[in-house]
Amino acid sequence: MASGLFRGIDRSQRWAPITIPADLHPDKLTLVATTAAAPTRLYVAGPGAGVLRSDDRGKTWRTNGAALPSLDVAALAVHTVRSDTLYAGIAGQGVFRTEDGGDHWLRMDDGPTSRVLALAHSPLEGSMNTGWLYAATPDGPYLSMDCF
Amino acid sequence: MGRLPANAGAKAVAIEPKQPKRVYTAGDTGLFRSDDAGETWQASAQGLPGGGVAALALDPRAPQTIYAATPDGAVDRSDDGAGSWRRLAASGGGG
Repeated sequence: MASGLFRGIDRSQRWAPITIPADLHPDKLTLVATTAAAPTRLYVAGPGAGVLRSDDRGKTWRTNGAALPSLDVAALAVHTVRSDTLYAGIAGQGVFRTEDGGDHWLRMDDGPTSRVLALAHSPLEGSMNTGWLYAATPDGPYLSMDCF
Repeated sequence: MGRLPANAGAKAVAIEPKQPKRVYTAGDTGLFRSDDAGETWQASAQGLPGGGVAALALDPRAPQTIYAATPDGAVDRSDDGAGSWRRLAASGGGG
């Protein structure tokens, strides 16, 4: 099994490699997030990798997690309809949000007490903001409004 | 339907964007589906090979299509909302 980033072709019957920055070890890439609102955009992340963004299906990349307190990104999710809003779980630091595609990040809160392994945004009604965040943890999934 | 099993740690979570009460979560003990935003859960791993799930993704244009990656790098696909699964070709073969 090769490591790196791949794009499924023919409904993922085949996989084509996507080039990643030369200074990024492919083993550090554990997370990938896409958004239907901007289909050519890709976000990738992982422990030790920070967050990287491509706006051209992976042809070119830029690091845009520099404002995060750590490169150890454990979870990543894109807002359901806002392609520039992204959520990142940083091990031991909490959950962070950017609303400008990753140039600036703000800490939302500690996140669940258990370790966050994955995040997903939901447009479910009833939030005080724009939706909800689900967090996958060893204790099961947690749900929080996307403003905290 | 019911609560998640006590040992059902979650490693992945995915939402059906146009029907957001439908949520999938998965981990070492399999894959579960909720139709009420996580209040209750139903095991949905029928046909999914054992060994757990490390990542989940839904096709935004066809949310009944779900992809589940295993910890050892294989990918399984369901086209019926996690009712049945089949394994896809391994990555790295080029395209």
